[in-house]
Amino acid sequence: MITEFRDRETAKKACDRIKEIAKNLDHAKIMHVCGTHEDTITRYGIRSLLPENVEVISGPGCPVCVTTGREIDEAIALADKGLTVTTFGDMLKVPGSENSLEGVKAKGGDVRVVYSITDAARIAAENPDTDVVHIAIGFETTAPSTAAELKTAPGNFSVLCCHRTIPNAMDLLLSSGDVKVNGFIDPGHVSAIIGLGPYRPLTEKFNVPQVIAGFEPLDVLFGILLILEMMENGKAEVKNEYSRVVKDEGNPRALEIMNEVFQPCDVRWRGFPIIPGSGLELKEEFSQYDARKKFNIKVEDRGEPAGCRCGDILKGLIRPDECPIFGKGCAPDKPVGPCMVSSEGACAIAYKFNKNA
Amino acid sequence: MCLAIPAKILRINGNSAEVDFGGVKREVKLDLVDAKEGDWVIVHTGYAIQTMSEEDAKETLRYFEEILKLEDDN
Ligand code: SF4
Repeated sequence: MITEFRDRETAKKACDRIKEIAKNLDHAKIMHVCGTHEDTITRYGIRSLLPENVEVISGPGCPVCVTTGREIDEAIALADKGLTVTTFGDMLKVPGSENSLEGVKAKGGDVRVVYSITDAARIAAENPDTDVVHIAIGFETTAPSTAAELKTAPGNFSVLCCHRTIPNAMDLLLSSGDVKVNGFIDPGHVSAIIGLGPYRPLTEKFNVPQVIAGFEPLDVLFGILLILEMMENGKAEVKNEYSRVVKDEGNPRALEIMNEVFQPCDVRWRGFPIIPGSGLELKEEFSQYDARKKFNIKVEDRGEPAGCRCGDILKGLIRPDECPIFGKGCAPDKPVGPCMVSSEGACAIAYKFNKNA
Repeated sequence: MCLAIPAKILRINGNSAEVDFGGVKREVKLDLVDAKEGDWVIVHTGYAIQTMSEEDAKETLRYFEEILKLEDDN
């Protein structure tokens, strides 16, 4: 099922068609909001196949990267208290204001990398005398698994809830006017949960074409092609190129579990101001699992590291190689910002494939 | 961590299942989907988040062809 979505001949024809349409357009700035799209685009060198006036930029689509320095400091404070902290591996090296989770671990803190929240809850179940806190990050793709797990989690388990929802951030980005986006490639696996509905108000408000796309090279190329076609015809819609996974209504069962456990809240994203309604917090009935309340942690917001341009990367204002310290002061073994740490981060991906992303 | 990949369900045990990621076997949770043995699912951080339809994949490929054919005809 996958090889057909990598077919070279079809890709070439799609690129020819893209070039053809681009001739009728001034400039097309297309933003994606998913780290996995950035990976596909850079891995397959898709930018080099596009005509000069078609630009694909990455937005706030890496969950590790949009997590704020303050949230990292909260995670570190929990580990410093002697609690068992579980995290996805990508978070380990992200610098907080003074340290990282990896640094705490090196000093003897009990920080453990897990593949899923189920593994984290299992550690809690097997160690009933230990408090286990999971750093719950991720967009709508990940939030349902946190919700499902909390419905049966043991009492010594809790989460530092850092979940965020994507469409509100896209809205803020367009409203701010900082960056002019002509079309969005919408994130396939966020959309698998939320469906098409939440994107429609954006298209209505800003007249911006959007295509939900999968993660094979042809998915991305046709996503770009469909956006350019809409631009050419002056028609903005939300199209779904990834119907093999994304249904119009999303995944109702996952949405129901999410709604049972979470409610929207206002939260700051790295590089952004507070975005109203773009976070998820635990409802009152689940507050026993809220690590912030349970352990009463209060850390000051000390902003993000000096010299780091991750905020501008996440807003689509600069490319990784335009950050003055990219590959010099900031590299995967000595990262300054999260975009160089996460496998979904634009800087880490650009570094790995050694390309100008 | 955002990565979500397709896997085939081998065996269902209650609300979890043994799945096959192209040779690598793993246990995943099924709380979020309605799926049966033999189905393809998209798995993200240990949970199946949606089923994947082979029929729709073929449909998409046909749609791609159609778009490109229009170009050839022009
Ligand atoms: S190169 Fe490093 S400091 Fe610069 S934006 Fe990327 S992660 Fe941040």
